[in-house]
Amino acid sequence: MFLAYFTEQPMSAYPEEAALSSHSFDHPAREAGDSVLLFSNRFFNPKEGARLYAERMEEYREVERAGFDGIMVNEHHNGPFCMQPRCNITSAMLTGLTQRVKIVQLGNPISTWDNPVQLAEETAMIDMMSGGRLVAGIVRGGGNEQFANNANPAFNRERFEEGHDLLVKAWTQPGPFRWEGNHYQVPVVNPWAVPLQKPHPRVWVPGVTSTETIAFAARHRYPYICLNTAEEETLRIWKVYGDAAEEAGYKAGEDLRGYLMRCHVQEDEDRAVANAVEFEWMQGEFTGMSKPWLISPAGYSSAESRMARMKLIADRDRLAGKQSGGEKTPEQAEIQKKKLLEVELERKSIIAGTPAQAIERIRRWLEVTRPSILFLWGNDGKIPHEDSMRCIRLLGEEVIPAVREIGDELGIHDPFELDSPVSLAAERGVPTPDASAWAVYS
Amino acid sequence: VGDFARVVVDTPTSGALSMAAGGEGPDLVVLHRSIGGDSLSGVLAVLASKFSVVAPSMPGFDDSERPDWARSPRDLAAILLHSVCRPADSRPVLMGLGLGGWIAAEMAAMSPDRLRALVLVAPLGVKPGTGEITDPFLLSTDRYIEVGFANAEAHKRSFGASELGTDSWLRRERNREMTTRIAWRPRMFDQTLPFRLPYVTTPTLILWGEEDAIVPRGVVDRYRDAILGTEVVALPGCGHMLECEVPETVCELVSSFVSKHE
Repeated sequence: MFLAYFTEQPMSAYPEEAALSSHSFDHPAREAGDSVLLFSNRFFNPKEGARLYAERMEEYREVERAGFDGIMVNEHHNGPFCMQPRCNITSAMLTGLTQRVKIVQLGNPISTWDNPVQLAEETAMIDMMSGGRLVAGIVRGGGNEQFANNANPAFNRERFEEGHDLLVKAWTQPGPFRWEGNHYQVPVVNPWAVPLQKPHPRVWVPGVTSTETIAFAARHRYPYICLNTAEEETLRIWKVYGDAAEEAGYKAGEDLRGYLMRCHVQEDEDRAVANAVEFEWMQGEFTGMSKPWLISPAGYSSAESRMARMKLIADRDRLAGKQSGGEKTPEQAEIQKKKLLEVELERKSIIAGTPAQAIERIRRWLEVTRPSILFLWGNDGKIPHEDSMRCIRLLGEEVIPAVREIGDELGIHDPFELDSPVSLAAERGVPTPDASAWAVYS
Repeated sequence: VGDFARVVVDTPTSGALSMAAGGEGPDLVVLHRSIGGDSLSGVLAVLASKFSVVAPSMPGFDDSERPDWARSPRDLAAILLHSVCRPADSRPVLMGLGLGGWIAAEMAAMSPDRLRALVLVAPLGVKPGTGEITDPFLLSTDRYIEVGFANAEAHKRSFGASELGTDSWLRRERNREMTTRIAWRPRMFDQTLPFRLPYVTTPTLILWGEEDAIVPRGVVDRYRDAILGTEVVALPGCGHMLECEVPETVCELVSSFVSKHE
């Protein structure tokens, strides 16, 4: 089992009532309650930001001390739910702050990069500076990120796949060479920074329900990390992954299965549950409250994927009796968050309790869905720093050793234990396609 | 549209181009908005009493195939110019609304001699000197349409909300996707168009509603300044969706402008 820690690094010190109301200075497209993209950064307090960054650093040190195998970092823009606008910056900082843990990027939103060769350079730096501890995951970026970075959502998938090929080629093929593709044209690819790990750092792909992304990961034999999906959905994802792997000519093993679960522990169950309300701090939407056409803009995914996503959101909102939009008081929002948590605890889609309770729940999850890569999303929202530290310590002292034993008992092994090939191409010795594969319109 | 026939022509690089054709009189080509042909049904029926109307679904919109290679409205203009304004055709009047207005202006800048007159209805396509074009992608399609109306009654009469997953939803999403493919960056304008517009020698009429909340007056002024002799009619009390709010007035204005330029 590969066991890693995650937090969104929330900008928790923002005035919640400001997000719940509308203002005279609001962008005309913003409605009360919208807390991402258009929620004004006049509410960002950099003094509090500095404090929160310092607390996160202390927590990351504790994560390594506690015995985790890795730290997952990510990237989001224009909203309080995540204070990492560049995951390569957090990663670079972790190269100095930690000595042992893997630095797992889930990941760099490559579609929003206008020059993936720069991404190859930055990740190569991080891989060298960390002594080869980088897992360089890539993502398409959420819908809001396309707006924040002014990246065309209708070309997101094409850019993701072409950008990936350029990234891997820049990592692995000696330069200078030329890339004249569809969305990327780079006359001289010759980065003077190459990865320490050979043939290149592992690439893991996180996601939710997008069938196209699952199939992409399977075609490349990259582990797919399900982000907090429900049990039934997770099993469906493994089926889609397995079918795509079979089509690519191999059998998908458990070393290709990853899962991110929210898991907050305290010595006292009541305290854990009280803190866990903070996982619902954005009224249950961990990437901030936003609109369907911003979360999933036209062209961002197939119409079927987009409809599935919108139906999931509507379904969850209905369960929680949530009204979209409209002014709310912080008290009303609090009631709603508690209600959402109740629904989630009932559905067992979140863990909040003692270490023993967490172990029991994780065992059941491992038995049913068998991931070898497990990310424990330990803290979020306004969970106090001391409680976050205690949660990390308890996870390290009690939960992690027990989960390792369960993994061994169930015979679940991760890519590092098995020394799995980093990709299907690497396993088969197939060179990465060059730009001509993408130059369909040039 | 009522008495219109559906005509499909094949293009060399954009597949099947579908169009509605009907009416009698001088030739008139009408290019729809970014939302597709939904707003046109009323005005086309009125125009057909005075013109022989051809209303194509622009490439990638409604019933026409999508050219995956197209990256800008100028690409669509090239396809349309060679499909509905060929040298062999009698020089048609070209009328475009919103995004269609932008594409019509591109066509006129490419080949002004092929057109008898150019009519731009609240066109997109140039950056206003003052004010901003409303960003359609930050609003739902339903809301974007609603914002286009100064007259709530006309909105209610012309449009209903589209339910998730219905054919109408899928069509509007496809139209929005095509708009995204060609006009995302810069948002709904082309930096070079103002420098190509002075080549338009076609008589040009611009119709614009004084309450237009999508296209600010600055866009109209930029077009007027770039195309010599442009006539501008600003309609008081009207919004962006003139063809739905005042279809008869639009038809009258186009008709009298065309008769002035035989």
